[in-house]
Amino acid sequence: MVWVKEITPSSARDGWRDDFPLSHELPDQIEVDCGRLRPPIHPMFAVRLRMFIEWHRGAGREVRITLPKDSRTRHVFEAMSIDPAITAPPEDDTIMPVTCMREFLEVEKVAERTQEILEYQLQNVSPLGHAAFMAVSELCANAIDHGENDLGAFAAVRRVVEPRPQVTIAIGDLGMGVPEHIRRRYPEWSDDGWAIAYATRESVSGTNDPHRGVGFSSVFEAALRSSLHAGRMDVLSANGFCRIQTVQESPKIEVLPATRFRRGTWITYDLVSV
Amino acid sequence: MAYRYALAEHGKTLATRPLGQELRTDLVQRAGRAEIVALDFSGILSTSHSFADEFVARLAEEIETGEVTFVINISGASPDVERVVLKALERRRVDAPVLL
Repeated sequence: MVWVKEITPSSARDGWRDDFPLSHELPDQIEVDCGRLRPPIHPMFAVRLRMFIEWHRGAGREVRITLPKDSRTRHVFEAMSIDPAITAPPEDDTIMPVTCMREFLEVEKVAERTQEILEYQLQNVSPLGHAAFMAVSELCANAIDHGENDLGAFAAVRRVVEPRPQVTIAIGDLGMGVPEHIRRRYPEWSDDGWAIAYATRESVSGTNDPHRGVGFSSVFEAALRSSLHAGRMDVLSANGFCRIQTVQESPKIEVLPATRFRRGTWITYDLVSV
Repeated sequence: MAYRYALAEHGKTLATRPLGQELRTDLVQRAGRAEIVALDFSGILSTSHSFADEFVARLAEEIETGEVTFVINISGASPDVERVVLKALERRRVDAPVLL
């Protein structure tokens, strides 16, 4: 038996539309048909599909990917390392292809490379270098530290040119998730969305170390000090969905209804240049 | 006696708490009996708050409690790096002899 998933042309646009089930109930053969896919490819789509591929291959299943027929889309698809078995030359807007991180040293490399490419190679988004570095370093380190999952954490960074130059960062892990982690110390925060929202506040941490819990706040602080038109972070974890926007002097936090339960933590972060 | 610790030998950016811990241990071992240790951030593009907390702020805390006997000064830091380091010191409320 083969489980077949056909990706619709526009489904990679927002990163969340398709469902990539991580279930042992799927058969031994999986086919993902990306033949009709068209740009843009959101980094979160790339991260989610890559994690789906690695998770099922790790479980011994055969996962076959049909590459996009359109040559431009195929080039981006390959350059983003969505299927780790396929390698391709770099592509202008792929700042960081989907990268698996299991060690902190790998976070160091990804954060450094992201800032270097932004500042030295991509002029129209170069002022976002420090803010992107801060996001990749703090959020990926969190994903490894609190994610606690054998698959590791995955991240991708991509530039978008239109309508405004922007950098989009996507990070995913299959760990315990933000709400469960934060409830180790604050068991009363039972709503997942609000638990995520509280976790983004300075000095709020699931650990007992009073000096932890600065990751999210330092990411927003770096964004507010950058030449930024706007910043928007979506955090989805368990049954929670929290959106944080940095437009003026302080981040604006919204708790939104989650469409479904998501194992792990999934973060997209858009940094829009002036 | 003064000792200079060049952070650029460890990369252009310094991102994580484990690296901060590793470099702090390395620095304390290398500094030996130095009275002043210069933390040279020349060539560093960015540091994260986690790194700055674990490396500089915790070192300053150890100076304050007497665990470490040298004083530190910070040189060559870009405005972004300096801001992150100062914030890390402020968050730990350390009043160590840190010279910027």
